[in-house]
Amino acid sequence: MENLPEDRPITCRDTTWLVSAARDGELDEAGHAALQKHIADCPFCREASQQFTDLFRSLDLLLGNDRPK
Amino acid sequence: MLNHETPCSLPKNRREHVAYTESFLPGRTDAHPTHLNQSLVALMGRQILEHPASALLAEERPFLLRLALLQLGRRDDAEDVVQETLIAAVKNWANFAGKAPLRAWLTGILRHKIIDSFRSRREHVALDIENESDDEIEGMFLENGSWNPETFVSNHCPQTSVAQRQLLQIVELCLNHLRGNSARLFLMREYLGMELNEVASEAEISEGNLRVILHRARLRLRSCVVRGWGEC
Repeated sequence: MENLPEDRPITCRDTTWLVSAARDGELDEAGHAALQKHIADCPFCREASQQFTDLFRSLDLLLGNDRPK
Repeated sequence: MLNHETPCSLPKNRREHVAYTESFLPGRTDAHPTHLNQSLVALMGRQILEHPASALLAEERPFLLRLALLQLGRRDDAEDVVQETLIAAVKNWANFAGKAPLRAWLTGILRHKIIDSFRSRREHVALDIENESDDEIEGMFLENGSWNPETFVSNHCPQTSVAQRQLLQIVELCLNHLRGNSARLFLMREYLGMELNEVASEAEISEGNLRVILHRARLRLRSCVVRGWGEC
């Protein structure tokens, strides 16, 4: 993942970029680790992450997607 | 516990939310579930109405039409690809045999028809993303990049569990609420399965801009569906 901030911890807003990148299959190991670390400490992002997961699952069902992104 | 309240300008419950989002839907009134495309009848004869699949296909037609319209932007083109999809479904009905949900099977056929239509037009998507306001997205976060507790909707609690069918209806309504150009690019990626570089090339934008558009669309979609799914 490009553009991960190097001079500060990632914010909730940053995590939504990482979730979007993951949906497009563009999240590398460093991005994935940064996302998981933030989610572990942030109840808002933990819930938002689950909401995104539910949303993407519903979207795939609705659009008849059966292939990995 | 999370502290959260929806702003007063937003729908406060699921019923209100559905009415709110339905007001944005194009072509809802002529999408009667028992109506099968008249041109389909003209093309295949009235025996299509006696085909065992006709009622089921007629029920799915409005959804297919809205999906095609979102992607293609022109009603005539959308009508054409849906008609081709329904004809293909009738011709191949014996192969369907209920192995997958009907809607999933039909959206799979429609996907190919839309891609064919899209490529045959040899047209690029007209983009006007400069004027899109970010107010909705800015309101989701505080200045320090944290979620704004005033606008964050929490709905992971047992009493707000919604039936799968309702979940999908809400996602569908929210898809229709996405702005035109963003919706097209979003569906090129999410529905047609085009790679980022393909979508960016078709839209004549950079991949970086495309990532911004997809990110915003996903944020808006999440914001819309979680309000529809209901708060704790």
